[in-house]
Amino acid sequence: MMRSPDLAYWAESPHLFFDPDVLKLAPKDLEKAEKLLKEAPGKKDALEQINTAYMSMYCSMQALMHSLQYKTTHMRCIVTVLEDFFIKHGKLEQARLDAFLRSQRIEGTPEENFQAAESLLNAVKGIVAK
Amino acid sequence: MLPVLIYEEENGDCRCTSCGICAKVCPPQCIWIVQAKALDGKPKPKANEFYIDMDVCMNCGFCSEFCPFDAIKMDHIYELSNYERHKSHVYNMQDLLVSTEYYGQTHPRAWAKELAVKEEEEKKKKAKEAAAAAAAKKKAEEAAKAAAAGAGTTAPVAPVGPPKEEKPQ
Repeated sequence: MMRSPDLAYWAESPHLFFDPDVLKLAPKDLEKAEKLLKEAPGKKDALEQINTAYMSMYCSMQALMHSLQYKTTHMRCIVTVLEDFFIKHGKLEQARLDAFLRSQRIEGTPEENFQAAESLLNAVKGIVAK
Repeated sequence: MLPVLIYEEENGDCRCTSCGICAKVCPPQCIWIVQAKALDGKPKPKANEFYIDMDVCMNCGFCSEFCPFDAIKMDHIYELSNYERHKSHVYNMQDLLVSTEYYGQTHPRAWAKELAVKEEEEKKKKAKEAAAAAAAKKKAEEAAKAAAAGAGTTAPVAPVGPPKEEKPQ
């Protein structure tokens, strides 16, 4: 695991920056996530299906990032920001983040991943709407 | 200069196909990849896990030179100092993945080149699609013409006259 992957570390790194303009990207991210989720079951094999579900989850996570007006260019930074801003405050369940990481490693069945992507999308919609 | 893995900014898709070329060419053998497998056990072009031991890496850049998918690149960050030098210097996929946007910032010329190639490929693809569509349209038009001409040249319908009386055999 990487050296001190906390928010302070990322704030000093070139991977996390504040940009008010990204706020308008959040609804687009959600649209993209929904579209990918719909496409996922139609993909040719299980691996493609899981990967598309992962992409949908990634877009949902990006919507959360953008709703905070933050932009990031590092995968661990996304995870750290989500943990600090959402999971620690009880806005998002740890299980959703775990499902995202499992999906990235292409684990589980396609159905499990579709369910995880769908529930994450619904949770994120609720958070972004607030 | 440490290696990083690239993911697409728009959808988070990792470019690595776990072909293993980087691991093979790595002189100090510090790259470890686990290839994804389908439910039937067949290997698939995705990485389940990807590890680089940064203490062993000698920053030669061979991995990024040889990667046929532009999935592994050399970063500009090299700070590794830490109180713990065993587990924390074995970077996993989460630690290695950076977006295409970051790659564009750190390697502007290579990124511009890549974008140009992509644009050209898209143009070619569009031209090919347009050509295919035009060919299909032409074919359809020709078929319609042939059908119309066929309708015009069909054998004239015999004038309806009084029914001929059949001779009894």
